[in-house]
Amino acid sequence: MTENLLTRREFLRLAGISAAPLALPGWTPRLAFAPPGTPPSGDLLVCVFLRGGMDGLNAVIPHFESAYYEARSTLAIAEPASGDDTAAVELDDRFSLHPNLRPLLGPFQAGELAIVHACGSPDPTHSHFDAMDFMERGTPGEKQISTGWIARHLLTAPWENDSPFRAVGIGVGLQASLRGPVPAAALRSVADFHLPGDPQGVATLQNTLSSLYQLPAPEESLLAALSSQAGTTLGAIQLLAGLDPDSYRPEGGAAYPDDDYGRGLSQIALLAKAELGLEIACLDVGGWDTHVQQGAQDGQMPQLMASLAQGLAAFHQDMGLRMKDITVVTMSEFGRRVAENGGGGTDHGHGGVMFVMGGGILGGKVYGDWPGLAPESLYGPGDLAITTDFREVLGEIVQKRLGNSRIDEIFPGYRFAGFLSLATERS
Amino acid sequence: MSDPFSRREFLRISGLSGVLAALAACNPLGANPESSTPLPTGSTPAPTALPVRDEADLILHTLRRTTFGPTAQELTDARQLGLEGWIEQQLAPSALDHSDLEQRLADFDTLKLSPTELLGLNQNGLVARELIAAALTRQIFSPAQLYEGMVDFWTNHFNIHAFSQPVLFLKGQDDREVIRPHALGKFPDLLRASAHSPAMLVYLDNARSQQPSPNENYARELLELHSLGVDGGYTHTDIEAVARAFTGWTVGTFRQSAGQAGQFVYRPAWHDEDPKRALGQELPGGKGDGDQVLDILAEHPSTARFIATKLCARFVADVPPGSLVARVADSYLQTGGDVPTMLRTILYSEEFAASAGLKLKRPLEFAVSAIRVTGADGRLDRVFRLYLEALGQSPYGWPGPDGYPDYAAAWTSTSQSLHRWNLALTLTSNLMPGISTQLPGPAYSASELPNVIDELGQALLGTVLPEQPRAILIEFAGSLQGTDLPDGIQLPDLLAGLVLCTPHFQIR
Repeated sequence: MTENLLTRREFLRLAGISAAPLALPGWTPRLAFAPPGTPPSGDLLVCVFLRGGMDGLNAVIPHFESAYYEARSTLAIAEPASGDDTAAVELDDRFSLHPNLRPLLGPFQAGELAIVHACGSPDPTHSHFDAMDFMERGTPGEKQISTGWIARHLLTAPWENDSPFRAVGIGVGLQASLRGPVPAAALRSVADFHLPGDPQGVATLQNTLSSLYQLPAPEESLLAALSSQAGTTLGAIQLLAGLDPDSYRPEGGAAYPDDDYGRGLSQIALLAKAELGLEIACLDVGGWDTHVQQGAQDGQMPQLMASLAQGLAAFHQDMGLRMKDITVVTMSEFGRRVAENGGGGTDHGHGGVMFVMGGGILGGKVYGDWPGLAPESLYGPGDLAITTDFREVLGEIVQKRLGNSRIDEIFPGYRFAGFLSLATERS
Repeated sequence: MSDPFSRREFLRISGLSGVLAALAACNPLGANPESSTPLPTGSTPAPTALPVRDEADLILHTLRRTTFGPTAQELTDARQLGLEGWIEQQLAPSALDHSDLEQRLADFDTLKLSPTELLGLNQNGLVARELIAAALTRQIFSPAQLYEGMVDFWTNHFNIHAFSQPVLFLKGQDDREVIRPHALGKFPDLLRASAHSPAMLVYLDNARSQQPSPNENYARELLELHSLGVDGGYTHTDIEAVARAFTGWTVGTFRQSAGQAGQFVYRPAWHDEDPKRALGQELPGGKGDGDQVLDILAEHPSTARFIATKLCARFVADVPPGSLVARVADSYLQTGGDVPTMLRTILYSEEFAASAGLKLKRPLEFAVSAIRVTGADGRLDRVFRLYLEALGQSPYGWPGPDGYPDYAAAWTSTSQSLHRWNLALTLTSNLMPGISTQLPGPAYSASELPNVIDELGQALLGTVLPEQPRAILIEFAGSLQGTDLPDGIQLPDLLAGLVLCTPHFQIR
């Protein structure tokens, strides 16, 4: 899985975009960004990627399907009617949540959480790495485009935002969806992000580093890529100097899970409330590749689900009224095989589940045509089929909530199928 | 894994507050944070690849690619031996003097223990720390730099995340018996050894795979990541058949037999005896099914091409020239996957010579090279390890089976810039607990500043800095001339840190 360093020219050629209107912000020591308090032009999008292939069938259970119970002798979750704590939590007459996802019931019933089932990337690959690449680049089956779909959104959005925190990936490296010509910041934690010392001492060093990284370099070279990142880094250090993550208290009694994912979400909340120009935040949760001992009530996947739901509910609580300007979406590279394997786990599958949460989301509903679990309805080696392309979900969010209509450039080669109508038009 | 340092403590000790406060007090550049140093003007853009003008340049380029950051001594040796002499010496590493390295490795009590001995020790934190420290010690101090580079390459190619039980007790054995013996051997031997490795079989769930519902995890990654490559021409039916072929390839447990615990075991009762068809061949049933699959994979042109592509991406460019990949794949097919032959095809090629400046150091290469060129020594398993984790690349720490990414886009981020700068400045200021450097002495006068910076360039980069960054450092140093820095820090130490912060030091 090699990937070329993106060249602007190459990107423009592949994406079919005219070079003329683009003014890529080269970094300058004086950062220009929207004044504090200026509302962003669209929702803040928080993208949670569940890495490894989340088993959508044990997250959002089709309890009306006897085939589900037949295929999963040890993993199946009892239907809601059975009534005890280990039973699924009813959403409607067909679907229910895993009991560990119960914290999502609040946002769901408040009409701010939508679920899309039998959803995913149509490419048939069962490879984690290809499937993740295809999804993050927004180009299933196409390996020639090396930019991410979010990077292309930022590039084509009809507004400018020079903040180094326009797009943030929580973690050491930058998510593939963010890779592209618009600088994005990778941030492990706000607390880490500084060259410690008194402000003037830091400035001395920053000036020298800044000079070292502003030397002329050809546009497409490694040195140019390093310089661009160094510029974003120095700008980010300046902006974060005013934040005090240690004293951050979530609002509304929200409690984030005590893990990397929970800390990541609270960092996003902190950055969002600081009004630094944040438009996009990406966050990863690993561990969903449950080939062995997946667990029905206890074990790897139930633990991950408990954390996932607690985090989303805490974020919803913490952001409160701000949720009217926020959309959160979860995705995973694929779902898992309908039938469990001999080791109490599930192998790589196809269709899965997306959660979409926000004030502009028409929640309280499970979207998507249900393909069924009958043998003739399954995909490939026995997988849930896909009836909703993930780009249909993201495309609606981009157009209605993020205010960018250039969907052909964000998802090149995709014929947008029309709205699922899971979001309202941002006013 | 128990951690001797708290996160807070790590943040505290990684600070340079004393140094920076002193700088602010005396440095006119620091007076106004908004002011920026005037940029030297220069209009000729450098070519994308750096020029290689003569044998000395080629030696420097070659050593940057084949070592974990060349030391001044290694460059001197290579210039004496000549390029071919150096490469051939590195391809026959057993003739090199390993006595210093062996002495260092003797400190690690758990390094040679078997899985059952490690389990019995009941000291998981120690096992993990020594596993990491031994890998770092070899990368830093081994004279067989190309060999250790290939150990790292295959460790990632056959990646096993070591820090969960019971893999923690098995990865050391995998390193000793799979990766290290074959790192400069024949790829098919490595592939077969890995397929019999308890650590791999546990990590990719094959150890639990039995008929009638085999687990596909190992079978899929064997084809996709270890041999044919994702576009290597196989189908899902092949994966299912390969998964059935490997049913029963498992690992002995204590319950069955103490002698076989943690060792490869074939369990006929778990094996799917029915005939199967995989990758165009009939498999009759039995343990031989898996062996036959490995033979097919080892001889397959897709495997040759996939291994060639990855080797060229490692040594030449993120997207390597197709002409070279084709020749390396030919080398594979003609020699039965002989690793040194493939490396010769690469290292003696025009494409390699024309690729200077095209590869970025990954974090581990950055950090290890910083240790090597500054002559640093000390505890690698404590604070230094935390820096590696902050940078996102600690030995055996990548969770997925695909290994740490080997292309620049994965490692150019704000987080990278910041943590690399922090590591560089903390290391050279001797503020990293447990580690001390040996940099050039402090005596100099104003007129000698350019010489000091050039000496640092030679020691740290293997060459003097280009004119513009050199001028920036001379100006920085001049502004601090005659100032007492706190904590006994010497100006050359701080300058050395800035040299390690330059984009030039990030290039492999």
